[in-house]
Amino acid sequence: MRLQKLELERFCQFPSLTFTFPDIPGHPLTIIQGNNGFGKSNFLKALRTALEGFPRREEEARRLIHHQPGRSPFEPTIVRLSFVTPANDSYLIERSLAVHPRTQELTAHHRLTLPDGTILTEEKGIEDFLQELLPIDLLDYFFFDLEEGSTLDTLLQSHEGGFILEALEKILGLHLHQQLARDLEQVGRELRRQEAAERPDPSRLETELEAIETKIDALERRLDDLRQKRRHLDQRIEDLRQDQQRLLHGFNPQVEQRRTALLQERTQIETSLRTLQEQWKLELEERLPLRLMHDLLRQAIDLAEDGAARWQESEERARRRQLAEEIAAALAQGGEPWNSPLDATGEMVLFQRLLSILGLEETDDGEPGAPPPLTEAEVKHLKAALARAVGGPTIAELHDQRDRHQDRLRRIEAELPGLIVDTQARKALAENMRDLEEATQARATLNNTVQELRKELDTRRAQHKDLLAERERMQQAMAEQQRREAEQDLLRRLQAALGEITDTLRQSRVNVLQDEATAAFRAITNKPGIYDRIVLDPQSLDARLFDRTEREVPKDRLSIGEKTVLAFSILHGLQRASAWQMPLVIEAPLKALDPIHTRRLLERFLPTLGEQVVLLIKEGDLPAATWAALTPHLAGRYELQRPAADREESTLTALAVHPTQEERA
Amino acid sequence: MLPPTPDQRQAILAICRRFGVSIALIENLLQLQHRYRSHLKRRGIFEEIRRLLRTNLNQPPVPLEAGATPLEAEP
Repeated sequence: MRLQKLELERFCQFPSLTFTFPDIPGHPLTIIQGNNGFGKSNFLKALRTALEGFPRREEEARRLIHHQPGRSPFEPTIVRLSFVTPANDSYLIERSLAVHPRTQELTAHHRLTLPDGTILTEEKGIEDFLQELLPIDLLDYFFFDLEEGSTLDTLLQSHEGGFILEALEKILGLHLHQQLARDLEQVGRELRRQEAAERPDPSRLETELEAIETKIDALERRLDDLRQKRRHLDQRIEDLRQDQQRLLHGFNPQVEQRRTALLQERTQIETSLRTLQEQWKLELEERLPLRLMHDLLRQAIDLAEDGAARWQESEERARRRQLAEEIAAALAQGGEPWNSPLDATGEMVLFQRLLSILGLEETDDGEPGAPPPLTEAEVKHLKAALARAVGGPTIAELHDQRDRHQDRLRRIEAELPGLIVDTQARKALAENMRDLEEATQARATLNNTVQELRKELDTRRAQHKDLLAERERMQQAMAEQQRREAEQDLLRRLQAALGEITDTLRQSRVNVLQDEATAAFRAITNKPGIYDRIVLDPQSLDARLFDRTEREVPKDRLSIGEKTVLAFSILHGLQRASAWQMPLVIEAPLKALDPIHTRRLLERFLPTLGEQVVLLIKEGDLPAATWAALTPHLAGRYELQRPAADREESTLTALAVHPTQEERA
Repeated sequence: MLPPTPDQRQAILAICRRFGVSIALIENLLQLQHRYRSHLKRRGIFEEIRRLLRTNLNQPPVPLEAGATPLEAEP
């Protein structure tokens, strides 16, 4: 990766800055120099902001906004960085921060332009994309300020898991192996889960199949038996029908039919006579008195509707009583007794009922009681009785019907004796017909049973078909199970192989890393007789320093200068062992170093540390003697300046690559 | 991805022979991881891994190195 251009608007002390990183093949070094407070740290901060985003804490973010007199405070702060990857793909990332004029709230916008012109604007999406492009979590390794006390600790800390280790794995090109191992583990878990959940059990199915096949066999045998019986019955019915034909041959069926018709007619007439008798009884007991009393009832209703007062009049009561007597007399004369003649008692009963209807019941002392006032419901009842009285047949009509029936009965009885036929033949025929009916009925019953059995057999066959289909599925599931087992076996071998491959690659790359780091350390350190080598733990990638006596040198015993040298050595190793060629931006790289370390670092080490190395240094940090060694590697030299003494503003000016004599002095 | 050096590739081949797995399968799986490297794109990666495993099962088995034995099934 190579940084191409950094543009700033209202960022920290830069009102506006456009800086194009010099790109001269074979000249990796860029030096930006400036005094204290001229913006070296903020230049570094701008680069990190472009790649990592604005600080999460609002106060920190607000501190990045440059306030310039005469310029609106609501203009956004913009950081824009373009860079190119080793595959020569160009990316442009832009982040802006604005203060809302009314609410004073901070709003950040992000924009990443991809090589194909696609633009991402969602912060999370941009972060994920950059994570894939760069080891963003390791920016502390590549963009750092050695003036800050924590930087060395970050570089030399122990990496017990966490994102730093993950990023280091990425640098060593092992993160895909690690992710694959995790995914294979997950696939293995899923396979085991499927195996547990979908393990086929053929034994249950076979038992069920066997049971249903037995049942089907039994049903088929039973059906065969029944069909056999049905055939026998069919034969019997056929025989009986032939017998019937034979019996009927020579037999006068018309006479028999006539006799049967007469007997049936006689039965019907007898039934009709019984019905007539019931009707006559009904007429006599209920409808006839009502019919006779029609006028009287009419008057009673009128009276009831006129009011109860008139009921008190004695002549009215007397008139009613007379009417009732007339009715009873008429009834006694007109109602001709038939099976149940109206004797004196019957007449009396009828008379009492009439009195009751008319409200003229006698009291115990023989005097008529006071007629009860008719209620509305009673009037309704009387009207209904009246309606019944005027419908239905009259007694006379009933008598006519009775006479006709009796006359017909007499004639039937007279004709029947002449229709006597051969009793033997009739008996045989009757038996034949009874047998035929029984056989037909038995066949129908048998047929029903056969139908039911066939239904049951169809159901069982459908079940059997389902079970066969299930068995097929089971066989497929068993084949699937075998495939799964083979897959699991392959997966286990694959996991084991991948583990070894990862370990092998890791060890190999860690060896490169520690060899390169050790070589760099030996080249720079001023104690080559004491310190022997740097050893990196293959798992945690923790760096340890050993002396010539094979004893580990605790890192907290090292001076800050020695720690700086150690950190640079590891950085050098990482660059050599890594697939990622990251640019290095280092502020105050020489701060803690003595002249020997400084000279060695500058001459032997920094020019070859990467393809792009940007050093942010104070004026005078570089010893005059080192310029000669550095200038062959320099691509550009710049100076941070403050154009106005009364304003907090900085600009960046290009300087001649070769420093003047005065500068060197 | 950092491609292996020739020595590293030889070592990887030896490991693959020892465990009876195809180096092409491992390379395909790593390529798959590379394609799915963003967590935003990881949907469906397990199905892809299963598909690669099954495809590999249908191919002739990788001969084991002389003296090597397949892994015992896990208890």
